[in-house]
Amino acid sequence: MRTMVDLSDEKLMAYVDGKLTEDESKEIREALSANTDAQERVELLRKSTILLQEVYDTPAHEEVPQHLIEGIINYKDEADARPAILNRIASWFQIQAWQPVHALAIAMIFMVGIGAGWFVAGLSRPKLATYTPIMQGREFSRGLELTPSGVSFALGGQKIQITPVATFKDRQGRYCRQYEVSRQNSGDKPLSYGIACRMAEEQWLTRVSVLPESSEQSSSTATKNSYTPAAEDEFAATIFSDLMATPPLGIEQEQELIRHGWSMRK
Amino acid sequence: MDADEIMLTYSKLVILITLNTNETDPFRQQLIDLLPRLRRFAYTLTSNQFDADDLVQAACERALSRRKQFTVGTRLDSWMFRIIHTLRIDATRSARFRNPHLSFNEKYDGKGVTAHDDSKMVEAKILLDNVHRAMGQLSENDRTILALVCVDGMSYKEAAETLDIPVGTVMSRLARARIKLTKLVYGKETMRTDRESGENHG
Repeated sequence: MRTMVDLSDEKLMAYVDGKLTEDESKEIREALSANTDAQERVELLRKSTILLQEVYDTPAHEEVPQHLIEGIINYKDEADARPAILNRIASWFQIQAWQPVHALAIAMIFMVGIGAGWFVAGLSRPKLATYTPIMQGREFSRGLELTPSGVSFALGGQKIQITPVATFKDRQGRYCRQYEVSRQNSGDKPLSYGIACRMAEEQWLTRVSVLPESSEQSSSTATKNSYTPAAEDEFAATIFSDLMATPPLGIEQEQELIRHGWSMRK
Repeated sequence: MDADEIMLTYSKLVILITLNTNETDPFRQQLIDLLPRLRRFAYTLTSNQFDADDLVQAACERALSRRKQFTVGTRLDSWMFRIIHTLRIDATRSARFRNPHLSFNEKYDGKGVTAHDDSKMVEAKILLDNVHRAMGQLSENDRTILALVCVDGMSYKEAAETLDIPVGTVMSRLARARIKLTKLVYGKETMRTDRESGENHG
C-alpha cells in the first residue's frame, strides 16, 4: 500500500519551482494524475511566476534614470561630511579634493608648526599666518599663570591679546587652559583658539591651536574670519576632549589656583 | 611635553583627513550597480514606476545615511530590499507610497508582454492592469515575498534570510500568495487563457 503523498501548497510549489529531488518529483507527478484539485493548484502556482515576470521585469532591463544615479553620487550626509575644520584648512590651502598626500603634508606642517611655534607654515597665505601664531613664551606663560578666564591679557610685541576661556586638567593631571587669540582693541572675532598646558612654574605650552572658520578663499585677511566655538567643531572637539580629563573648573576654583600658584591646597 | 601623546593626536588627524578623501566610494558604486534590481523590486511592490523610483531614491538615501549599520561581508542587495520593505511598511502610516496607481502605466504598457497587433496590445494592457490590481489586494508582506522569489529570483532560503523569517514561513506565505494572485488575475472559479481573461475583465 502506498503512503499518502504530501500535496500541500508548499510541496507543490517546490515541485513547480524544481526544488525537489528526482524521486520526489516523480512521486508528485504520479499523485497529480489522480487529483484535479492539486493539478489546478500546480497550474496556479506555475502561472503566478510567469505573470509576475511578464509584468514586473521591465525595470531590470532598461536604463536607470540619471537622477537616481546622481542622487547616490551626490548624496551628502552629516556623518559623512568632512569635519568643518578640515574644510577650513582645505579652503585655506586651496585644496579642492583631499588626497592622502595632502593629509601627510598637512600633518607635517602641523608638527613643524608646533615645533617652530607657529600653527602652520602658511606658505601660501603669509598674511593669515601672521595672525595665527602658536602661542608660547614668557609673556604668554605669565599671562596664563595669572589671568582668570574671561579676562584678556596683551602680548605687547605682537599686538595681540589672549583671553583664557576655561581651565581643566589633562590626563597627566596637568592644568590646561583653553584660550582665544585676538587682535588688540579691534573688537574682531578671534584669530585662533588653542589649549596650553602648564608644564612647570610659569611655563605654559600650547598643545593644540585651531584656526577659526576661514572666510572664502578670495578673502585676503583674517579680519573676516568668524569664530566657531570649539564645542561646535567636531574635529576640534575630538582633540580637546582627548586632552581634557576633567570638566572645566569653576571660576572660584580657578581663582584659588591662580592665587596659590597652581597648586591645590586642600 | 608628552611626545607620544602629541604623536597620537596627530596620527588621529592623519586618519581623519585620509578618511575624507574623495576617492571612489565602493559602497556607492555597489548601490548604483544594484539600481536595476532595486527598481524592479520597488515596481513589483508599488505597480507604479514613479512611486517605485521615489521608493528606490528614499531607500538609497536611507542606506547612505545609515551605511555604518551595514555589516561588511553581508549581502547589500538583501539589506537594500529590507530597507525598501521597511519603508513600505512605514509608509502605511503615511500617505507617501500608499495607494498604488492602478491605472495603466504609460511607460510599461505592454512592454513586458509580447504584443504583435492591436488586439494583443489591448489584452496585454488588460493583463497588466489585472496583475497590478491583484497585487494591490495582497498584503505588503506577500508582495515582498513574491517580489523576492518570483521576480528577483531569490531562493526560499535567501528570501528567508533577507526578511529574517523562517524558510517554512516563506514557503507557506509564498505558496498562498501565488495561488491567490493567479486566482485574482484570472477570476476565482476557473483557470482561463490570457485571451479569455482579457475579455472577462474588459
